[in-house]
Amino acid sequence: MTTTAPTAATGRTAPAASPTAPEPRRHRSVRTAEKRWGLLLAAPATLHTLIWIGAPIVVAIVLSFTAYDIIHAPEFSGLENYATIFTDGLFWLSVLHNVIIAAVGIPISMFLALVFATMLNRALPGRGVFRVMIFLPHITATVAVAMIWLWIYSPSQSGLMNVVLGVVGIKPLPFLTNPDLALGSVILVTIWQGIGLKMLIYLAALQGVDEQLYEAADLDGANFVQKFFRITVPMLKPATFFILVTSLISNFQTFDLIYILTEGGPANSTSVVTYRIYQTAFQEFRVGLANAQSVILLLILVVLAFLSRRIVGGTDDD
Amino acid sequence: MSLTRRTLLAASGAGAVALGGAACGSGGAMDPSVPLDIDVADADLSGAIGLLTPDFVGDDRAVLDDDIIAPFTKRTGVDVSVDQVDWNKLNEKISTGIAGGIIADVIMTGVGWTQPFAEKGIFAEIPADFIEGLGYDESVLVSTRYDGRYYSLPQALDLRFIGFHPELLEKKGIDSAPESLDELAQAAAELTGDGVVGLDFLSGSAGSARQAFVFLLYAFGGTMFSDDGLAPRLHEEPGRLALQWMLDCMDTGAIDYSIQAAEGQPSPFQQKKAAMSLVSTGNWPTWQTMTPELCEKGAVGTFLLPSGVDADPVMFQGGTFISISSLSKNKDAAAGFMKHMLEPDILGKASAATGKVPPTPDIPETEGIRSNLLMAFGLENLPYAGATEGGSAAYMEVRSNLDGIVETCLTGRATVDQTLADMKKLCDGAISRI
Repeated sequence: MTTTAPTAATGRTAPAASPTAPEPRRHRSVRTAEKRWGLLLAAPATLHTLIWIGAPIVVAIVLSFTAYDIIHAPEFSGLENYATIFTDGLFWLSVLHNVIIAAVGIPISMFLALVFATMLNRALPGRGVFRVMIFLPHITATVAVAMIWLWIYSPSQSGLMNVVLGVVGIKPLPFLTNPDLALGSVILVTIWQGIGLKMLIYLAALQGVDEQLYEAADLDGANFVQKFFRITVPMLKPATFFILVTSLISNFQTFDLIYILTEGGPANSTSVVTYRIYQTAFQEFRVGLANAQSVILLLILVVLAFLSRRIVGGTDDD
Repeated sequence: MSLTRRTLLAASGAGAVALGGAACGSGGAMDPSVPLDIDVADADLSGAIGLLTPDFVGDDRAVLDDDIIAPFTKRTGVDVSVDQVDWNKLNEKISTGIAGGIIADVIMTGVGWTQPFAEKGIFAEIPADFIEGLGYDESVLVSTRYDGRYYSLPQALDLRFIGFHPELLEKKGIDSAPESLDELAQAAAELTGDGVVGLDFLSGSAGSARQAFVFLLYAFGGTMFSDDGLAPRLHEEPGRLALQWMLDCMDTGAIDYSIQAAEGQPSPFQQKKAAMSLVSTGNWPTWQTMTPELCEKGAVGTFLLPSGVDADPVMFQGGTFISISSLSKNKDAAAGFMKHMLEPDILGKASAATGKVPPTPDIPETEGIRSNLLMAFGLENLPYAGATEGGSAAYMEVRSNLDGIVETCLTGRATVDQTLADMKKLCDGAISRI
C-alpha cells in the first residue's frame, strides 16, 4: 500500500520513500556534499551557541562543584553545594515565591491577554491605539516599570494606589513594606507588564484561525461563548503552549523587578530564585553555591517545560 | 581538510572547556602582594585612580568634586573618577567589580566591613605607624583592624541615638528622658495614638531592622560575636531580650513595623507622625533641606538609648571608612588620596556636607559643623558609642541575611526561638567558611 504524507513546506502530499530502497551512488555523493555544506553553513550559529551559551553552562556546572569566592581560585568541593541547597530554607522559599507568582500571575495575564486579543481582533475604532497601549508595558524597560510602580505603591497619600483607596475611604496601605501585601503587589506588576506580549502572540494566532470554522458554527447556531470555547481556544492551543512555556521561563528569570521594587523583602517575602542566586554570589561571595543554585533552576525550568507540554498537550511542531 | 560533525563538536567542546578553565582561573590571577607605600611625595604621584563611595549623594557630590577632589588633582595631577553607589548596593558593587576585574583604587565602606574584606585580601594593609601618628581615639580604630593589622581608616562616624519632639512628650506629661528600656517602652506606648506612633525604630530613616536589633543587643549587654570573631553571640540572652522588646512594643502599637516614608519624602519623625525616633547625625542635612524647623534650637530633643540591664546607655556607631584596594594598579596615588581625605580641613568640609562626625576633633570648626546639633550631641557622648556592627571576618555574609531574619521575626513569621536559632546557624555557617 502506498502512503502519503504532507510535506513541511507546502502542505501538499507526496509519495513516501521506501526506507529499504537502495540509493543510487550519485544521489549519495550529492547528499554527502549537501551535508558538508549544511554543517559549514550551520557552523557560525553552532559556534556562537557553543561559545556564548554552551561554554557558560559548562562553566556554571563545573563551578557548581567548587567552593569559589570570586577572589581565590575555585577548590573542588564535590556535592557540598547541592547538599547545602537542600537545607537552605531561603532558597526553597524563593522557589515557592516563583511558583506562586507563576501560578497566580500567568493564568490571569494569559486570560486577560486572550480577552484583549479577541476584542482587538475585531474591527473596532481606535484598536491600533489600544493595541499599542496594552503592548507598551512590555517594551518599557523593567527599571522604568519598577520606578512607576514604586510611585503607584508609595506608602504615603501621594501614591496613586493609595490616592484611589483614599477616595473610597480606605487608609493608605503599605503595599511593598507589609509582608502580607508585598508578594501580591509584585504579582500585580508582573500581570500588568506581561499582558502586552501575550496579547500580541494571541493576536497573531487569531489571524491564522480559519474564518470558515466560525461561519460553519454560525450556520449551526453557535453563540459567541460557544464559538470562543469550541473554536478559538482549541485553535490557539499551540500559541497557548508557547506563551505558557515562555512565561514560566521568564517568570523564573524575574530579577530586576524584585531588585528595584523590594530587594526580596520585607522579611524575604518577595525573594525569588534569581535574586537569591544574586545574593549568594555577590553579597555572600559564594559563587560555587550560586552556580549550583543556577543548575537547580535550570532543572526546574526543564521540568516545568515538560509538564507544561504534558498539560497543554503541545505537539512536536510547537 | 574535511570538516566532520565530530571534529566540529570536539573543537567546540575543547574551546568551551578552555573558556571554563580561563574563567575558573581568573580569581587566582589577582596579585595583592604589592605593599602600600604611604610616604610617596605628591610630586611623584601620577596617573588616575577610581574612588568608590556610598557617601556624598545628591547636593553633597559637588562638595566631593569641587572641595575635596579638585584640590588633590590640582596638587598632584592625579585624576580621580568617582563611582557612587547606595549603601545597600555597595557590597555587590565591590564583588561585581572584583569579578569583572574593575575595582576602585580607593574604597569607602562601613563599620564592620574591614575584617571581611581584609580577610579576603581585597584591602591593602595600611602601615601602623602612619595610623598611630594620626592620634585617633582607640575607640574609632577598633573596627579598622583585622588580625592585629590595619586595613582601613575612619573618615566619618555616623552616631545614632533617640530623637524626640519635646512638645509631644510634654503633652503626655513626660518631662524627663527614659532611664531604662522599660521606661522607654512605656513612654512610647503613652505617646502612641491620634495618628502618632510612639517610637519610629524601624522605618529606615536611621538604619534598618538589622541595625535596630544590633543597637538593642548592645543595650541589653550583648555583642554580635566573640572577641576573636570566631563564635556568634547575637543568639544569646541579650539577643532574645532585644527581639522580645521590639515585639512587645509592637504589641502595644508603640512601634509600628509598617510605618514608612515614601522615597524622597520626610521621615515619619520629620512629619511628626512619630513622637520619638532613632536618629543619626547624618540625618541633619536632610532635616535642613526638608524640615528646617527641626534644626532650630530646642525643636528636637535627644537622649541615648537607655540600657536594658542597669548599665550605661549606649550610642550606635556607624560610619564611613576608607581603604585601599590591594588590587589597585596605582597604590601610591590611592594612598596619597587617602591621606588627603584625612587632612583636617578636608574632613571638616566632608563633615559639613554629610552631617557625619569627623573621627578626630582636630578639625577647623565651620558654620556647618557648629550648627549641627545632632553632631554636637554625638560628640558629647562619644564614649558611649559602643554599639557597632561587625566584629568577625564572616560579617558580610551575616549582614546580607540578618535583615531578613530579624524582619521575619518582627512580622510574626518566626518565633523568637526560631529566629535566634536561624541567627546562630547563619553565623556558624559563615564563620566556618573563613
